[in-house]
Amino acid sequence: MDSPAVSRYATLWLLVAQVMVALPVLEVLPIAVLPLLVLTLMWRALIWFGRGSWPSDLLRLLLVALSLVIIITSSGWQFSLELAVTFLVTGYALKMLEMKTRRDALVIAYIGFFVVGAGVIYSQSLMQALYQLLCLGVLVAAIHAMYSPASSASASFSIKGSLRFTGLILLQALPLTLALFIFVPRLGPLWAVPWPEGEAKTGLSDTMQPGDVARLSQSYQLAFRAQFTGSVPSARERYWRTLVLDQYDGEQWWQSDLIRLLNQFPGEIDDERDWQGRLPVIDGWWQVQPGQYNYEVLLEPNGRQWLPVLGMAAAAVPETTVVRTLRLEADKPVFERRLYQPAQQSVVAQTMTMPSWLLGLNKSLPDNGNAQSRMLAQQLFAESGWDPVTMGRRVMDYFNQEPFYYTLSPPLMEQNEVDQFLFVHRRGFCEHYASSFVFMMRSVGIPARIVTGYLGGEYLPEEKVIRVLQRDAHAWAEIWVEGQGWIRFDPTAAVAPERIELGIDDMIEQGGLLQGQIPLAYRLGQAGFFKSVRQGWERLEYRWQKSVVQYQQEKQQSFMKELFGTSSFYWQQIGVLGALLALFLLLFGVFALFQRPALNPHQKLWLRLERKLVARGFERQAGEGPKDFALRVNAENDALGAQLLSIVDLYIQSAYSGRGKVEKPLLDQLSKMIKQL
Amino acid sequence: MNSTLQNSLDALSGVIRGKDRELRLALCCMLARGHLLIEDLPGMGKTALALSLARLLGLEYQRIQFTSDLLPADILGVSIFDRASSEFQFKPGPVFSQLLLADEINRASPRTQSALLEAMEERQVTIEGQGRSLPEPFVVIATQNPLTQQGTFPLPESQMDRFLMCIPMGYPDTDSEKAILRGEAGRFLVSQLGQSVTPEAFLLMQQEVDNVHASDLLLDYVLRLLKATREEGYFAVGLSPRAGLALLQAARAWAYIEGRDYLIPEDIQAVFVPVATHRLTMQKQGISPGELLGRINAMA
Repeated sequence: MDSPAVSRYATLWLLVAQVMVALPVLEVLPIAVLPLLVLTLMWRALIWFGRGSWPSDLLRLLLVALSLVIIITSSGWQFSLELAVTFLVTGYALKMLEMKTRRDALVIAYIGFFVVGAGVIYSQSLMQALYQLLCLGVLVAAIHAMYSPASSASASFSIKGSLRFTGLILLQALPLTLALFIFVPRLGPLWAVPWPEGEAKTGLSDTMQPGDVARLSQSYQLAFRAQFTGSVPSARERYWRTLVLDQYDGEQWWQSDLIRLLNQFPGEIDDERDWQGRLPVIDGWWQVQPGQYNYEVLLEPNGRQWLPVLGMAAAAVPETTVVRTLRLEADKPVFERRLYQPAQQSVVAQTMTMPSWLLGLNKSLPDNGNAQSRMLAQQLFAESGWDPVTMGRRVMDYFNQEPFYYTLSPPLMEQNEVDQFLFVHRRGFCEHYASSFVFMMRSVGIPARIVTGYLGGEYLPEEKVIRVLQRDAHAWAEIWVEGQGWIRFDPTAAVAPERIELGIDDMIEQGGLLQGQIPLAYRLGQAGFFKSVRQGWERLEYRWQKSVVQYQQEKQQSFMKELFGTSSFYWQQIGVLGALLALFLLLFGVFALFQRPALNPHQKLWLRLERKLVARGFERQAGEGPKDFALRVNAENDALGAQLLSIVDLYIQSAYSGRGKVEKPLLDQLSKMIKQL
Repeated sequence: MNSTLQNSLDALSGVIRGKDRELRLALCCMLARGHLLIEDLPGMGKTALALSLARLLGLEYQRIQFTSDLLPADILGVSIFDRASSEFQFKPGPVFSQLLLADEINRASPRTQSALLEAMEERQVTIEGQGRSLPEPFVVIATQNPLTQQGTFPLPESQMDRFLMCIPMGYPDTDSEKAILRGEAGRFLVSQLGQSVTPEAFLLMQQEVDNVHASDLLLDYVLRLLKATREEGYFAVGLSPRAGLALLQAARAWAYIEGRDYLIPEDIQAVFVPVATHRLTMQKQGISPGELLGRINAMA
């Protein structure tokens, strides 16, 4: 039988669903495809309105060829996730132009579900999830409309009815969805999603060049969130460490890596354990001290390997390394949102001993350049009585007392940057202050390095969450003192204490120190009513990310452990899945049982008889009555037939006559005869 | 097997050779208080069948040959002014009989057809505002030419429904036909048939048929059949509940002839094709009612 035609009503739902479903992924599609999509959509809409005709086979073929050419040429001949999504969405749109029967419409609706799934790759925010739920609803409503008999008659639109049905269906699916979400094991992806190169990496980079932080301060993107249990650091304590830059060539700062160090100090570094450690801690090149804060971080994907920690990294999280500079490094770049607990046991680390090569590295400067600064440093060091800590404070005082300004749009400094900054311009932001500070320290032989990371963040007290944006990026300095370890100095604090106390937003409010415009939406979000609404939403979003999106293998394991005690995780999972399966089978069975009318005793006996006869090679045809069947058997096998005839006689009397209805003796006799057969 | 009826059937098969099943169905139809439609070409023994049945059961017999100019009054009767008594006197038409043979019913105009069909359903006729009951029992055996013949007015579906069964006579088998040709069987024997059942006894039998028991198990089977005609897409239009009742009643009569006072699936199957065929609208890729029987489980 041919599949019935799709009603106008169902088509309308499908069109609406298509637009809604495609919207979130539009931004990843190449621009060249968009006119094509709009064209097909409009064409289909015209057909809907009765103003257009279906494209001919040839035309459809041409459309497909055209879209293939557009897609492939705009992909740059490289396979990427975007290419796949583009294919999917384009196919989805084109298929509408040959949708005539319900079968086609079903295929289209199913493709719609896939496109919704594709949207999840690009955003897993709460807003997106709610929107996708809406899309699912519209798709289900479309399928309902395809089968709705009222709509097949004419254009009788019962949107309310469709919506009600959809709501009901989604509600019914909810328990199963939850069970699957909670219990189904998280398997690794079968194929890796190629991470787009280039601009997709956000946040601090491994080298520090002038302008990095200024550029980041324009970014309102979320960097990470941290949730605290117990005490929360005050604004001046929120130094989020990401990178430690200890290599300097006179222009740039960058961080050491193992290969470079092995070249720099041949024979002094034996193996990688001298530079990076994993749990359990080896050889005590770092010491662990009790700390104050217990928190976990939910890091946004950034394509980098650093993991921000408060203070100094102490304990390695699974799949991470603690580098000797006391920063936490992920084994692989972070391409998916990642949840980790850097200070599970509430500890901080410190480096109390330094091998000579490391001391040397943290004192090294180019031989020449910035002579003025070196002289100033010598002078200040003498004034502070050759004490490193006093020297640090003295330099801070110097920044504070001399007319230095904090600005995010400093003048361009080229050669002898430190001299230029300290003596000519005196305008700059954290990078300038930190690098000048470290330069002066090193020039007098104090081990010093630059630490980059984030400072501050917005605190949401209800959840005890600190939200840190890219614009909170910051740079500060550390010096190493025998017996005390690394001590943090933030020269920016000497110049612009508000940056530390209040965060970058208030800095901007107070003194127009930013070039460019702050987005209106962002400014609105900082004010009164909007602020509370926004913060409420941020809280919801955080919960969503933490408990739903981050419900991955580890969380699942710990949840299952809580539920079922501490036996093997895999057996638990198999057990739970088995139990679920059994439950569903049971439900299904019960359902099927209720669906089918119960067999009465006669029918049961008859079935037994039939089974016995099948074993003898006689099978009743579906349309055969009892008597005809017995006669047929009798015609082929006398002995069996005679027996069967008498049984059937008895059966007919007891089953059909209305007298032997529940007459037990008759039934018993029948049962006995069947047994003896 | 009911012995009286068996004797009647034996006597019948002496007249109409090789048509045991058709004879039994015809008898069954009459026992179920139904009217019978015989669909076949002229000369297949339709009239002989009707005549024989009338004689056997001792029923008052009338015959109408339907033609295109037949009027309702020709069937129902007319009032004629009697000069002697200066009154209108009703001259009853052929419909006032116990067994009416309506020959070639589809040759008359629809108006005349419907006059008869109304009488069949109501078992009374209204003439000049006065209702007149028809005698009991009242059975119509109508014959119909296949519609491909010229000059026929097909009966509408709603009127086909008035007939409990519709059976084709079909050609006799070779042996039977040889017997007919040899003069051993045929219409001339009808006059030699004796009456084996009185009309009163026949009415009693009809009442006994009503009491034949149909168990739940059997009703489920009937329901499965009815449902299959409606839902499986085999037929354009399925069987109505009235058709279901007719099927059950016909099966009861069949079981009664078999000598049982309860129904078994075989009874249903025996009458299903003649009861259902003329009520179903076939579909191009559908199946015949006989094929349907083979597909629906008779037991569960």
